[in-house]
Amino acid sequence: MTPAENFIEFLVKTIPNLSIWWVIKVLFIIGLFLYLAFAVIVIRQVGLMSKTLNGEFSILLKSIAWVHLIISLGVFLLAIFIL
Amino acid sequence: MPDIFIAKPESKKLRIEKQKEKLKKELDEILAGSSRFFSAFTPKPRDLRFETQEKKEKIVLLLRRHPITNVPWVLLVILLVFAPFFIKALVSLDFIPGNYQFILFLCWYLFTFAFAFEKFLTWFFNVSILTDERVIDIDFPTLLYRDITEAKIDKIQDVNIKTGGYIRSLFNFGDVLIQTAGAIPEICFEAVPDPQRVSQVINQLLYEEEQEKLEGRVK
Repeated sequence: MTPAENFIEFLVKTIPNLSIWWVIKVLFIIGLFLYLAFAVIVIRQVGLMSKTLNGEFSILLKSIAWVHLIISLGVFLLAIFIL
Repeated sequence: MPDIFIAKPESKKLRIEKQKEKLKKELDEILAGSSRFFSAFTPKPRDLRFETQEKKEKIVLLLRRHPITNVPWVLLVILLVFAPFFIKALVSLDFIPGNYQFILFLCWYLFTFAFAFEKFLTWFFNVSILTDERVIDIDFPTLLYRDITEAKIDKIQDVNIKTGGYIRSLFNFGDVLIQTAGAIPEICFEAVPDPQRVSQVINQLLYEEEQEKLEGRVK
């Protein structure tokens, strides 16, 4: 059997045993991973904005962006462990 | 007939100084009633610099969109914050396991926060700046993309104000369109508070610049 045929056979045997919640878990994890990437972009965005207009609120906004990233990472890890 | 008293001619330097003082006073009168940095109409903001600002350049006025323009997204955020409680009260979610419900709940608030934060950042950093040398319009239309438009004060040819509609008339905000002789023909300050006063400030700065040119002290 070729590797492609092996893979198809694996899917055919495995898919009926998968629960809908397992699929949802994978979707959650993919979604939260993408959100994590977005949180990183937000940090870069706030950095760029603060560089363009630097005032007394820049540090506060940068801190909020970092806290957002940490919380996103926390939710991502929590989803992996508790789902 | 002989003159009894002849007044000493005012020195040119003194006259220029007096003229400068007068213009400064007029500008201060227009900008009276200053507000804080965290507002939409901020005359002479302290502790604020923009990227392309030159060392001796002073910010005369910082403008953002009128705070009332934030009302639609603020209402949406309030709705999103309370939505899970309404949904839980109206629909039974017992078919979803507890751990999934918990993660879903966290995700919902993460997205809500991200939406509100993005909207706030867009409002806070999309600014229009008037300095004693230039007019600058800073826009962040999408993530990681910025658009900075600027023109020298002496390139300004015309200033138009656009207001209209119930909300704009009630809260006194509108667009200020600045036609320039530069590469960018028009700079638009969108939905800024008190457009009449903004136009007055631009005209005053233009007059100052003309005076500087006449007196040969152009930077």
